[in-house]
Amino acid sequence: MSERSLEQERAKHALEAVNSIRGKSWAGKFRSYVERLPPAIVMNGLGQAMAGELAAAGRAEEMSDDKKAHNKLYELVAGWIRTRRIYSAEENLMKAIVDGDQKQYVLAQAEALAYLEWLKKFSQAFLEKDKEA
Amino acid sequence: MPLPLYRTISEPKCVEGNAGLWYDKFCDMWNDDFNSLGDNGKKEWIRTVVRNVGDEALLREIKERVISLISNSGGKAMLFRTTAPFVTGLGRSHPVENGFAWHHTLGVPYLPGSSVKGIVRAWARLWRNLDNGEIRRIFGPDGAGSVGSVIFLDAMPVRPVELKAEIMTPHYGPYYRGDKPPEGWPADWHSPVPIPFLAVAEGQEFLFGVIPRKEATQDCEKVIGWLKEALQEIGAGAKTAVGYGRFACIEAETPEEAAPEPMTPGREWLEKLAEEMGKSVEEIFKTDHKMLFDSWNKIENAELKRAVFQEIKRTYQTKGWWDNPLTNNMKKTLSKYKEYETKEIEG
Repeated sequence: MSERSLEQERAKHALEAVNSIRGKSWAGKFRSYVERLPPAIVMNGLGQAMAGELAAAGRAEEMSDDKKAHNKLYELVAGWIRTRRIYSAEENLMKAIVDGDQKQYVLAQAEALAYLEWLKKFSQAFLEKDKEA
Repeated sequence: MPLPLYRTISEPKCVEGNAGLWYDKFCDMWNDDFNSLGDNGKKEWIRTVVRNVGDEALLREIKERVISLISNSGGKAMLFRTTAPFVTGLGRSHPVENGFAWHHTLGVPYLPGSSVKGIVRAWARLWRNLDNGEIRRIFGPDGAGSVGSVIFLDAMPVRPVELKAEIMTPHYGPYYRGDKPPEGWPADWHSPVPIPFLAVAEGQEFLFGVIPRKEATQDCEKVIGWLKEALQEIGAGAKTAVGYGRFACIEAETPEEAAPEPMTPGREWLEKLAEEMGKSVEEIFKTDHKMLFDSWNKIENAELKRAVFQEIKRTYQTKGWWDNPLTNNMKKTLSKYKEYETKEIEG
């Protein structure tokens, strides 16, 4: 077997994530937030959009379903960007973004969008639609 | 305050240029952890665009191009003015929660043609109870697959647009969010939450247009009539249930009338004054109204004075300031014009 292509890596990461979310009470919300994130990135930029997810996730205490879904989405995208090693020694995505340069930012944004393609595809395939949305 | 963007050589500043690009991408009101805009961050960020946005010359050019497109394709254009605050694109994602529909290249608020079409279709179907066949012919059959006889253009502002900050204050957040009872009951133990958002002010002008797909000129006429009713009665954009988004028709712009305004002696005088001051006529009316009055008052030729007066009055009326001055100072200035009017023209 040859090595997996980058596109396969993205798909693998996304599929594992979606499998771990299946059956959770906030799966539907997660699905709709995944659908909304790519346009937010295109409109507001990666930094603004990810800060928006953080703001929606709120503080760690008293996590409602809503907040859990936002938090998970933030963690997944940040995790994937970390895997891609765009920023050196990155522990916090937001800090990495403001410390990084323009080239890294453009790359990170493109990576996030490419990854979200898969996350969205698998969410739509395996997670139930949110009843209210 | 931190801006969630890569290192830049210089602080980004919004001096001139595309206000939408600025508003959407450069919000720097975040706290250090990038998880909140803080208590005042939203309001302050909105305040950075509460002013006139858009380039006067560019918007004039767009207006002329749209009107010539409409006249060459046998369509109908109509100019409207907002009679209430108007919000479009609230659902878009944005750091301050509620987004705003900015025209991508012009950086001004606009109403997409698809929205215009939706409003008119709803009006025709629900309020006018029109024959289904006619609705299908004009708007296309339900669902996708086929087109209607009329094309709806984006509604565009024709001059720089004044924006304002508005506030909505939901009292029953958990109820609207659909939380489970008892927390989700719409009861008065919940706290009101003020949420600031950006809106178009009253008195701003937008050009609406429709063009026929084949030779449906008559359909265009019907549609523009419905549009006029719908914008007055049910409104456009968000929050129409509480009175937002209402428009009044200013003039039906048949293409001939819409050709560039002929230069009147009054207009000529105003433009010359503006050029001498290095400002736009627009600015003079808003901020230098006292100076404008003084210069006008010095005109010796009675005929010219009267012509300029007519032009000044007309401009104030178009803006809606003649009856509702923006400030007390403007009110004072206007009362002097009105004195002249009663004495010299009516008397």
